[in-house]
Amino acid sequence: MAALLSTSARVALRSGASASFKTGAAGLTFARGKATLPDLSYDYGALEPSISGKIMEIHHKNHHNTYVTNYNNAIEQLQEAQAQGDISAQIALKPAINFNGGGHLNHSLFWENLAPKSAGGGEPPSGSLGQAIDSTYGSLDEFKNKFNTALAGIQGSGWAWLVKDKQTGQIGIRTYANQDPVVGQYQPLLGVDAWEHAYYLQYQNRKAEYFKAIWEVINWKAVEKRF
Amino acid sequence: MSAPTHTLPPLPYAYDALEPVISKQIMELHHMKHHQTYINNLNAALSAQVTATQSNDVPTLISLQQKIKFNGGGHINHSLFWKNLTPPGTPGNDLASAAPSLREAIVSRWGSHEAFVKAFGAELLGLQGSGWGWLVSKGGPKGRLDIVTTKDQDPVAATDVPIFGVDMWEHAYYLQYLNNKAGYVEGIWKIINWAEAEKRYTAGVENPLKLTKPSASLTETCRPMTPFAETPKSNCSANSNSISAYFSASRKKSEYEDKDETEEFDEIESGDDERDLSEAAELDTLLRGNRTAMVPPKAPKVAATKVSGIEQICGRTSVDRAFSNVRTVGPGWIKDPRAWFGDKNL
Repeated sequence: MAALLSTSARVALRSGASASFKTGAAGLTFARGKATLPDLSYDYGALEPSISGKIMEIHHKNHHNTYVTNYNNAIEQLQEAQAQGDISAQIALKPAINFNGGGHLNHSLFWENLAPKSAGGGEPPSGSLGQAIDSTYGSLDEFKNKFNTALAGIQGSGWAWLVKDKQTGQIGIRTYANQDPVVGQYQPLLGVDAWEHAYYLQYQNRKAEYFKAIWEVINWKAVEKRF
Repeated sequence: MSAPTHTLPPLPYAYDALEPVISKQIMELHHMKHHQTYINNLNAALSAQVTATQSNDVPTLISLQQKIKFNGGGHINHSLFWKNLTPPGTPGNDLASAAPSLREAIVSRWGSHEAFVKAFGAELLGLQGSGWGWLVSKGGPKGRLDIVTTKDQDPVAATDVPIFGVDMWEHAYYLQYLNNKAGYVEGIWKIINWAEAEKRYTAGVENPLKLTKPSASLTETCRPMTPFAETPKSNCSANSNSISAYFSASRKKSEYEDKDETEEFDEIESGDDERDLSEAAELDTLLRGNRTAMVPPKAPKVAATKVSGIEQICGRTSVDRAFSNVRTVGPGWIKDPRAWFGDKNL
């Protein structure tokens, strides 16, 4: 066990000098090799009325934190299995890593692509992303319509993403089940959480209202940076 | 040929009867909104399927299959779920007395009741995303017991008997338990209907879905579908057919003005659609809109009926059926739903 911890500590040190640091577009934070819950750059109540403070608080402190905890547990088990050369145990951990690692990635990206109105939330995209949206979808409104249709069409829990195809540079809308992360051919630009826990306390079954309201607090500046 | 129209089955207990395990608010939303939306979308998909069949539109037929699975599954699963719950402290909740043969099978399979509860709870909490946990009897009644989970609204395998199911969608518990789903899982045992479970284990499951003719009398619709439900004193108005005709006519008119039913349902897949308006709102829309040249025969005050869960359902069912009326095309009914779901156990 001690050997495992020192391995992860070495990994952490290789990746950066300080005990806590940011890495990658998702802004994932680590402390001593462990994933940590990132701070929000705004108050829980700052996205009201689009998303209530209570939803934000539970979503961040409880839901997201649980993904972080379970991801760290899975990684610890993975390291143990690797140390023992146990291939079947490593394979068996895949769903837990995908689900909890995906949950951590998705939420980390999500918090960043939201912003209070006072901090530019809802201000339309400009520059090359704005042009890509116009040329692909005709207009921002048409893009939002298509995105909301994709969100509404998710069966069960999941996310809708504006993605960039790494092969062609084209943008597109894709939905992902549960916490499946946007990896591989596609690069995540903008994600909206369509799990019921993301809106139920405020919107209950009226999820289309949530999908409509969230555009008021989309941080297009963050999306532009990812593009 | 027209598609069968499914309607919301009444709950066999009042909305607040499962408290404190499941709150009244959850039950109301879950039954009247979520379950209803699966039914609406299922009916729309079945109608679209009839149209596509008539025109040999194979691509559309294929694209409809997932909608039918999801919404049909949502309808089946919730219909089973309501019946496999019972208010806490009722005789049906006592495993030993209500389900002697099932209890014996559980103990022989898991060693003890407690071990089963633990194993079942672990499966429920291990679900990733939305789904259900089930105790099933493999291959038919009195088969080998097993715990299975199904994702989203997938129903259990057609060959297995769903003895009872637990809804692990967040909408099933979130308003009360928030992220503490273990609390919900722990509480659910206080409301499991072991009497129903025993019946399913020993004799299989009755078809949980009921097809209702649009011209069926109101009393028929109001008849409780479960053997243990009280027969409601029908306070539903007697003029359901004229109400039906009114809504049928006004809705048909609106269909010419607005987009068609299929398009509407295409956009929203899940069992929670803001356009699944409450009956009050739906009536309101119809009454306010300029499409109402006709005056409804004594406007049904459905939403105002607050006497009991069952009576409320009666009221809404009459209106629902009035709406579902216009979703069907022409005469003819599929009598046997198994023909649609290919499931001998349902």
